[in-house]
Amino acid sequence: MSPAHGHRVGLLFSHESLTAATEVTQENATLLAIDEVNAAGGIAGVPLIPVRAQVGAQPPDYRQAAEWLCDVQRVPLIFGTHMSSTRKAVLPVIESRRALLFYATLYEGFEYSPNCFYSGSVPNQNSVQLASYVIRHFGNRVFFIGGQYVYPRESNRIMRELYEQAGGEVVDEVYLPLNAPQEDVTQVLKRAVALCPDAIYSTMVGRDIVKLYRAYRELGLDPARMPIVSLATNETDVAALTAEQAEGHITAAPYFATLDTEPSRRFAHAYRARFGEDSPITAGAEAAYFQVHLVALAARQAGSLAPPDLVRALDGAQFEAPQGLVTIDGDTQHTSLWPRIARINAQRQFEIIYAARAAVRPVPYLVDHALDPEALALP
Amino acid sequence: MTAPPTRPGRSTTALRELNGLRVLVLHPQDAESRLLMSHLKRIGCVPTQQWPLPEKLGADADVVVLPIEEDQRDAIQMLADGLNELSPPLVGIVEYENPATLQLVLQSGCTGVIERPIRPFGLLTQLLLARTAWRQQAATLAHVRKLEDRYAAVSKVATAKTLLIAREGITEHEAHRRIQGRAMATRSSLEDVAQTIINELS
Repeated sequence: MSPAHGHRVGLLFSHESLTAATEVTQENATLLAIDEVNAAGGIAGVPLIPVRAQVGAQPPDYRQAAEWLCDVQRVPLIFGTHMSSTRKAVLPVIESRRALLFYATLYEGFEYSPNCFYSGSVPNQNSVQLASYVIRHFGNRVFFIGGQYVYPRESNRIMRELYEQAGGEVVDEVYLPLNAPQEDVTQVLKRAVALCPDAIYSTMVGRDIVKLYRAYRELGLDPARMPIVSLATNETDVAALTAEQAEGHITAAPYFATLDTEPSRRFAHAYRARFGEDSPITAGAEAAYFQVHLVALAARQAGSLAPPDLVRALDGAQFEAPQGLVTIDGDTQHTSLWPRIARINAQRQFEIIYAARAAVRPVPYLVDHALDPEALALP
Repeated sequence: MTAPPTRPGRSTTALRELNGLRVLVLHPQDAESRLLMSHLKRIGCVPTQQWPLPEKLGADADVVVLPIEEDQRDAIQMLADGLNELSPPLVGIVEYENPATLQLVLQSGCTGVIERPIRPFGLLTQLLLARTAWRQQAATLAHVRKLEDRYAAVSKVATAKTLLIAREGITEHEAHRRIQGRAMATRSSLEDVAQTIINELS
């Protein structure tokens, strides 16, 4: 498509996958940001045109959709994918077409593709702060529950190391198949209770999250003494829970829609005005939002959306995102972010209880994580 | 619902040492080597670059990455001939998978390979495998050396015993106690006493 009509960009979010609820928020935020970019004159007067792919639920469906976007729609770049398995399925397509993927979800690190930019957290930007906080406030015995795929395994490996550093103990570690039945989740939780941990670290994702919090409530457990702590549980999951099921549990993320700053309020207001007052806003949506703006800034500077020029212009690119000033680290193509921790309150809102004082640089290849003295020392 | 039979443990030594691992990249300055150098830095290694291939490798690198190519056959062979057990492990860069290249890979003593065009994915795995194989080999060699030493000692003691039995008409048990007694009295090893006896009696 000639730039005279607009720059076509691909959107690759599934409405059918296990994590569809969050992916929809990321798609919404991407569309919102594209509108804002276009309202501000697009790229030198040429608007961005979003091309949405129909994506099924499984990694091969994402791969097929990426092929359609690259080969039929001829987009130079794609915003999307969510679970690591879907990013991995798509990257070979992106690399072979010399396109770019913009990935707006937290993941476990240990990846670099010259054709990918990562705007979500890696473990030194969320696991470290979460472990430090939870050990300080609840104790150093933890139970791991997660799904059977790469993110839970690696995330748990890092968490285990952090707990062992603090002289703590992982009392048990259980991996359930994705889409596990409710009874199985309940069984695991019963086993956890018997071991008396101080916290339950969950790497469940998508619809499985809701089952965990429901089972927790049904067993009459007390989040003030043994909360579920997570990097993945977000506003869409909480929207599917009652206040009783959600209250007291803890999540670490760089953004919560409760963040009371001017850029955050503006973003949340624009999002809700367009997608509904009750539509949840996630950290993934915020990353999806600011990464479009970063692409637009870089494209204006480079004078095109052609990948090699864009990659150069994205090195060190900065944007006043809803979470704070974010910066792309050219060496790793990951992003400096603002770690935060929040507790769900009785109104089912994430109440921020810890915020890093400065943005934290991404270190995706960090093997040895150390606890965060700042988060450890908090009252 | 099943718990995994084995749990992922803490990072292995191999993983931990990646941070600060000294990697010598033997490669001409070009776009591919720049990509290789930048990814090595990204994963926390400390790479240095050198070209042409040296005749001998020093001990100041933990891993060496070098191209395994036909036009470097003689230089690679010379380098491989100069390797000893203290030499760092080699990771080859290969462009072809034909028998001639494979033969060169084997001759070079590479314990890992990456392919051309060089890309980030896979490098970390090859570095780890090469270092792990190297460490295992070093441990095996040390073990073999220890066993060789012990074997030498045992066979000296056996010779000394045989000499004592033959010359002095004592039993094996008595010969053994004689050697042990002298070792204790002179505060020396069984092996040294055995050597003295061999020197005295043969």
